[in-house]
Amino acid sequence: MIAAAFLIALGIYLACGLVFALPFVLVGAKRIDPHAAQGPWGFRLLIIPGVMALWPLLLRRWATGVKEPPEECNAHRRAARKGVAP
Amino acid sequence: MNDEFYIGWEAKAAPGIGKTLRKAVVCLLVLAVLVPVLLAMSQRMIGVSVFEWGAVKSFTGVLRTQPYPHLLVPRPGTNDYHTLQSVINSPASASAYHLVAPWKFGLDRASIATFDGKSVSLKGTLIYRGNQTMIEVMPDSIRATNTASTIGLPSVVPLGRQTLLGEIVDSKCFLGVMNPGHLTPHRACAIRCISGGVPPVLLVRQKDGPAIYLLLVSADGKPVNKQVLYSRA
Amino acid sequence: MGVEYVSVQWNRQKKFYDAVLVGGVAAFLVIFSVLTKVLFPRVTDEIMLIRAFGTGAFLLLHIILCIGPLCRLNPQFLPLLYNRRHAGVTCFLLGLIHAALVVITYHAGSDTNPILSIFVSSPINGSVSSVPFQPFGFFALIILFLMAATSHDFWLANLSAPVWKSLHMLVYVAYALLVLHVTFGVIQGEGSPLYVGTVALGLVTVLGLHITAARREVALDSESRLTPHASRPTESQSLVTSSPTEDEFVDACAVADISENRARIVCLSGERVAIFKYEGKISAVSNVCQHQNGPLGEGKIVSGCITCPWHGYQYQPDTGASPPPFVEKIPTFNVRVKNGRVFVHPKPNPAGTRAKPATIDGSSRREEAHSVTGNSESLVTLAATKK
Ligand code: HEM
Ligand code: FES
Repeated sequence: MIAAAFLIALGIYLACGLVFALPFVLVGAKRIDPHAAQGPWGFRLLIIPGVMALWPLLLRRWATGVKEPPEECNAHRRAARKGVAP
Repeated sequence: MNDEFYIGWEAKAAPGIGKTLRKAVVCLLVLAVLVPVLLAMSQRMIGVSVFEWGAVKSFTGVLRTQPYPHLLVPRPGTNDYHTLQSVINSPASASAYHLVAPWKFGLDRASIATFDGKSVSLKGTLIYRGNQTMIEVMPDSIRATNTASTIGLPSVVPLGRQTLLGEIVDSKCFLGVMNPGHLTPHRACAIRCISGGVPPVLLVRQKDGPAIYLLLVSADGKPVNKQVLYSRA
Repeated sequence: MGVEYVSVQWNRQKKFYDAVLVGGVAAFLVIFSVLTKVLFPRVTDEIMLIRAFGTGAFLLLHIILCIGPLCRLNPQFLPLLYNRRHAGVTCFLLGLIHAALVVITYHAGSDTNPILSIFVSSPINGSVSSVPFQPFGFFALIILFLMAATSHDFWLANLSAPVWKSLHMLVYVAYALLVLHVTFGVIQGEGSPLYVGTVALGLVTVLGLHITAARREVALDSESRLTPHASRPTESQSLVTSSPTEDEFVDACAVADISENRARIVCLSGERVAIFKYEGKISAVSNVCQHQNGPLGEGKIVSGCITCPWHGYQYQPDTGASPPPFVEKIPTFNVRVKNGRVFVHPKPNPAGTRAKPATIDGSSRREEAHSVTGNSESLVTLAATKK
């Protein structure tokens, strides 16, 4: 049954997210983003749903020791980085 | 050129922008009033049906499990065994209450088979719409009142073949547990109810005159829940 | 923001915004419910609430979707955009309550798992009324959840604005799903012309505003597109401006085209560039705000800083860096002013790099005066004299 399999997978994914969310909001967030170091409780609670949804991305950043949020990627920033005008 | 510029974190917006903003807020609030008025007024599906939720009553009568569980309650003054048999043979002298279980389930016919044709008392909540009545029976509240008496089946009167156009509804919701309880918005719920054993009813709406409710059964008088669910269109 | 995250950065405008939002939503829910109860006293309360919350969420989504194009057509509507995320989160919460009530009322207490029932309880039999409309609502709700869950600035910073924006563009998918949800759902039952008309009017409004705004945007963009090679100065100008073209500076606009403390937007190097004029100087920065990629060129210089029209993030025009303690940075461009024209080098400097502002000298100012009169001949003459 496709629908049942889909829902079970979704449930497992979100459950993993919840398990990951606790250590992340307490410790992980400030590791990958220094501005989260002194975030109040409200902030930590507010980001939990998002952490549950996007945990693989955050887990990878935390695991690979990323210290700062990424720089956005657009034509100007790419051109500035490459050092050549397009 | 008007050089006003809005900055959200400033305490106050520039006067021109503030004026536009006030107009916009008024428009939005008008929407917040007008739209619910229009939509609430234009609803057509809500009928007159009742579920006496929270008001459990006692009922006594003869329980039948065929084709779907129901309780025959003699009209006042016809209360003894002999009249009951006559009641079954002439339905006009008794009220029939369809019996269903709580939530989206019919009464399990196997578990009440021992009461079939017997006088019973039970507790439950009344559901009704038009001249149709139903009881949501409290679990394990059925008691036989007169274990000896068993009443035979009513005689079958064939009315011949008819073609009828209508909507199959789950009787429990349509008769009152949910109002509105029919058409597409209710379809998934109806499918769950019929799957759970609630008797399927063919609702035939007439141009003039009251709607007709026809309990759907197989040719040999058995429930047809499965057939209703798995037949196409 | 470049400072510590907080739950919500409250300020007076946001409180006003939220008061209107909560007041409007409450009015909607109360009016819908009370009127339904008065007109149809036998209605089932759960279904009444399902309808109140569903339609409320759907109306709010329409409003949210219209704010974007409205602001592009008239910046006076920008206050509506300022705190739109709270409207979005509210819309999700209304949809969530609607869905929860539906699951409890229509799916729970049956022989099937109530969530699974959303998917398996609508067998298709070929008729319009059998199209399973509830899964549309489910997927719309998932999208609204993703958007609401990532609405905090933490997510903007950690996903980066372009990724965040793409995620939030899914709102259009959600809207389409909900139009289907309603069309194949409640409209199949509640077929009154008023009901159908209201939904249709909503769709026409959302589409109409988006098409109008998009058309204008395309027109403006094609007007202001510059490329280093295609836009060689015209013959009369090349007389006097040959030197900038040699090192690839591009003639962007006339100094006089820019009003004081405002910008002119041109397209250069694959993205828009905002050229600001302030205090007798010209600076050019990437038009893309680091916060939510708002159009900085539609902003204004306020107390010496470029201020974004969307949420008021600020950048110093010469360095492209936000004033401390904030840490946002955008790319800058080298600029020159010659003979009343602004020349921009197409190669952006790394974000936060100072580019010396070009001074509008006396002669340029006089030329400005001339070119305002539209007399291009005198411009050439004047420039030639100067040489
Ligand atoms: C799991 C998700 C959802 C499910 C299972 C669901 C289910 C339903 C059902 C069964 C109805 C018919 C109600 C009735 O009239 O009896 C309905 C109507 C409606 N739904 Fe949803 N829905 C979901 C999500 C949403 C969301 C997220 C929105 C909007 C943001 C929405 C908006 C509406 C609207 C506007 C109606 C018509 C209201 C009315 O019945 O008058 N739904 N939905
Ligand atoms: S986009 Fe939010 S401030 Fe610029």
